[in-house]
Amino acid sequence: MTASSSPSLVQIRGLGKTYKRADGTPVKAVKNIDLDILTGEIFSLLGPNGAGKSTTISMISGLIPPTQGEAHIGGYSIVKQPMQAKRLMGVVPQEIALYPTLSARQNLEFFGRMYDMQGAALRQRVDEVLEVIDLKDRQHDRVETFSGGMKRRVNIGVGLLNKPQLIYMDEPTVGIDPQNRRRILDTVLLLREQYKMTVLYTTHLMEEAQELSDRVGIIDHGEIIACGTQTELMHRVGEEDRLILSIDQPNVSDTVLTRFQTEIDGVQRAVCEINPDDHSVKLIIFAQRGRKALPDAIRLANDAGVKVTSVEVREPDLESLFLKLTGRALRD
Amino acid sequence: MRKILIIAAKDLRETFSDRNLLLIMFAAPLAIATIIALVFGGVSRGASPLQNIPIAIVNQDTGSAFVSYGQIFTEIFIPATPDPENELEQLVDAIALTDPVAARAGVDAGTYAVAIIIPPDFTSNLSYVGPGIPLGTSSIEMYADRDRPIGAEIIRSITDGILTQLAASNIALAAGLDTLIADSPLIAASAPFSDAFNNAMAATFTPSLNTIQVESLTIEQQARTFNPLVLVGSAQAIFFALFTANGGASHILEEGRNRTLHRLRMSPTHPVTILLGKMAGTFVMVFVQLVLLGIAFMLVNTLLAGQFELIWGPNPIALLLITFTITLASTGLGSIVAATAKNPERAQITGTVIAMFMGMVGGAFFQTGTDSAFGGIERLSIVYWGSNALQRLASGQSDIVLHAVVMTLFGAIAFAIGLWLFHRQLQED
Repeated sequence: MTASSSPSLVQIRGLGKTYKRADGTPVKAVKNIDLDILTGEIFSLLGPNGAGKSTTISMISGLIPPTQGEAHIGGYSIVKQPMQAKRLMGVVPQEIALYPTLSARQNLEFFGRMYDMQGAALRQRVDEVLEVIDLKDRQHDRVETFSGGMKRRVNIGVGLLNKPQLIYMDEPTVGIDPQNRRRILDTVLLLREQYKMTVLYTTHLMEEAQELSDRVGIIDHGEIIACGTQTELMHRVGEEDRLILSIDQPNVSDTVLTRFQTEIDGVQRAVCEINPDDHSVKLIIFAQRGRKALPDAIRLANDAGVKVTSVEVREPDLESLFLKLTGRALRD
Repeated sequence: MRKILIIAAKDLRETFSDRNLLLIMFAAPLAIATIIALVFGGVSRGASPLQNIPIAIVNQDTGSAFVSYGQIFTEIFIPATPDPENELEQLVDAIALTDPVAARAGVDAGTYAVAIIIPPDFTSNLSYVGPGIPLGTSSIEMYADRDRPIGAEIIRSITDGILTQLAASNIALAAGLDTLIADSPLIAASAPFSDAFNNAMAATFTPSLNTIQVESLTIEQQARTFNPLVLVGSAQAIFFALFTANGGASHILEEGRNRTLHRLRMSPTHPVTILLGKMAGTFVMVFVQLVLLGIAFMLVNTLLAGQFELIWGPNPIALLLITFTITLASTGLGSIVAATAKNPERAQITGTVIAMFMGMVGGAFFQTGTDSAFGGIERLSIVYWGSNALQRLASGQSDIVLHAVVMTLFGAIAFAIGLWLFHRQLQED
């Protein structure tokens, strides 16, 4: 079964959220989102921090009421029939939402009871989940004694308890080591392949969205600015490669950037980007055939007095799409 | 309902797995109350930290031609020449009244901790009549405010001491007169002699035996036994229950911060169910704390007294009712504090300030014996209403209806407001 041939499990129409600042000025955190998430697919909502991913998730999981629009889960309105809709969902929040002084098993049993599970069925389901998250041998240990990765796995396990048709995972790999990150990504794939769950996955990491997703929605400033399969989205970028030149100076003048576009064949445009974390500066050149344009680009940089310290050629990806759509990198 | 119990049970499990919290809930009030109780053991022996206990003395004694024991007694408390260095004068703030009804009314109104009423025949009953005729007995009435047992106990202790001296001197002089009359029968014909001796006796009494009774009465005209552990323990238990209630209610703010509250709200559970579950957990926590502390105080009392005693009185149903209402009021207060705080830290600070205020005016730290110091503000305190009710039950009284009503109303209103505020916050989150 392909995702595109499945009916929608989640239907979002005109969804929006407007907050009021302390001074009374309205702030639109999410603007008029229309989205369908298909049964059995992994749908990633990709966007930088503060783009509106968590607010969108909070609205469609019934945590905060939308100020406009509506979301339906399995046909149930999250506003008018929240209990029915919530029974179809599992939630994995970004934070470790667990009780640290309780054991992994006690946490799972407690949240299971919140989904009206009880008795032998609950115990059996908790056993199954402990198998999935690979923590059966530590089930009776207090969560506070776990490593960050183990806590993340219990956090995911709670979301799986009620065998949800739809599971929300809000940046579940934030702040963990590569090994545990790999394990979590494998678990997400397992949910789709083995348990036929629909996954709504939010991330600001392009690599995760690329690896996991059947379809991706790119969100920025509270709006979905692109949505589709990765192939469809790449098509929007075109055949552009990116030449990324790390440079040893604080900025590049607009005159020099224009020269890259006008003097080198196949170059569409050039931008200068400063990493806010380490303040490193990169000159990004969009070209039809990056490898071919590379020697000319380095030569022109030398002529313009721009000192290049390293060079990288990237094929089209979601990062480049985001850059093309917004003029900013995802991490901004 | 099932989910409310599940959430409450989870909170209890979390609480009772936290050793620090258990220390605050149980060990601290138990230790403090026991220590204070031991210190108060010395109060009746004169180690009182109290001052200016207000008392009224009504001297109706008509005396004799030469002496008035009532006058002597009164002047001990109200000397003709005041001496600021005198410890007794520092301890009591005595006033002489003429009307016993007014004196009792003053106690009822809380103006005086004790009214001492000396009867008209006080001196004549104690005076030497003649050889071979036994001395009479006399009574002094002590009418005490039951809500100030420490002050009353101290005054009783002092009165006992004075009267013991008076009685001992009386007996010694009577024996001396008997001997003198036996040796010289002419003396028996001299009536004024006995008054002269009585006069001399009044100036020479020394401690020994006592044939004068002090009738100790409370406002309800019943004798009262003062147990410092009940007095201090009840107030301390409620004082610490306020902290538990505040901490329990603030736990919902912790859950908000830890996002477990969000997770609960994303489950098919109504927000009101979550809030009721949290409040039920806090309620049970406080109730269990009060019950266990009550039992612990009985055990401590057994150790101190050397014998088992039902220090909380003979009425377990009333005791449970009062414990229930104290719990309701404490938890309700905690829920309002938590619902109006922006974060757990603020809730803790506000809760601590309120608990300290209620503890201070309600008698958790000291009993001043002077209601005027707080001008009736103690009636705003759950500690006052709760400990007062427990003390009444401990002394065998059952008139705790007003206390129960006040705390139930307070708790129910506070609960409702807290629930409404929390629910509104969740909707606006």
